[in-house]
Amino acid sequence: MLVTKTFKISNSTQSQFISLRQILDFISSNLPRNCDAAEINFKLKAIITELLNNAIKHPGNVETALHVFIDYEHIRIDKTDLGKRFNPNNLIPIPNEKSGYSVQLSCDALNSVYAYIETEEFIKFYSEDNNLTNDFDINEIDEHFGLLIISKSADEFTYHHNKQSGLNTFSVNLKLF
Amino acid sequence: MISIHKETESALLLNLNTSEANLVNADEFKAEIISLFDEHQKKIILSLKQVEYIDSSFLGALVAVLKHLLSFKSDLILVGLHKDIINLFKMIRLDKVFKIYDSFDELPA
Repeated sequence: MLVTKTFKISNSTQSQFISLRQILDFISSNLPRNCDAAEINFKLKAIITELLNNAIKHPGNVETALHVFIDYEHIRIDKTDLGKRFNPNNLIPIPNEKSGYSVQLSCDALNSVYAYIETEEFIKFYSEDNNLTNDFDINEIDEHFGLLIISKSADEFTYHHNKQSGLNTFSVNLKLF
Repeated sequence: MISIHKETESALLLNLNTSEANLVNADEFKAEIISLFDEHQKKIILSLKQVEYIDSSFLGALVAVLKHLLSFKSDLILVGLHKDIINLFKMIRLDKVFKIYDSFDELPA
């Protein structure tokens, strides 16, 4: 069984919330019966909310689409657009000698988020818990949680940039069992 | 979006009156709660009982408010969080940063 659907997203906040509801309803009605629907829906709401927020915050006047793929064991969500390439902290280009390395995107007393640069066009995101001491400084706590929330909710979270077409794809994979 | 539930000698108990705490209302929330703190100069106990979901922007606003209140040696305490929101806090470890209780009644004296 493979169920797929594409949702075109405009960058207005009102339509984002309508889209979120439509996407979640579509997924809920197509999940396998014996998966932990409550847990899956919680993670998906977190992931999709943050993907849509990213589209609002970085619109670039381009059309964004969310593609949903559901099979017996996984759900995958791809967010695509033809806007500006994702390149925080000037991760790209990669030094010639290295085939893949990690860059820290954010770090506070609680968590760190990293981008593993697998190739010039493909990034994997991951997060780690930091060792929290009792006397941590509140001013060391970050106020931006979007990438962290997706990294922690998903089983895999990646970014691909197609140089030829200019297509950007943030992709999230979640196991259903 | 915020209403006063009760004012005591040491604290201001507030209700957040929205079901979706998100990007759209995060800045308004921050401005409103800081204004209430500036006016009353007491620690704030905020009930999220009506809130069904909270996104990263609103979480950032909560952290910013906590930082502001702590800088004045005060505090922001959260009560009435739904299960999904507690799970979100635990997932990104904000349960280590905020004091969280089930309700206003559960607060220590």
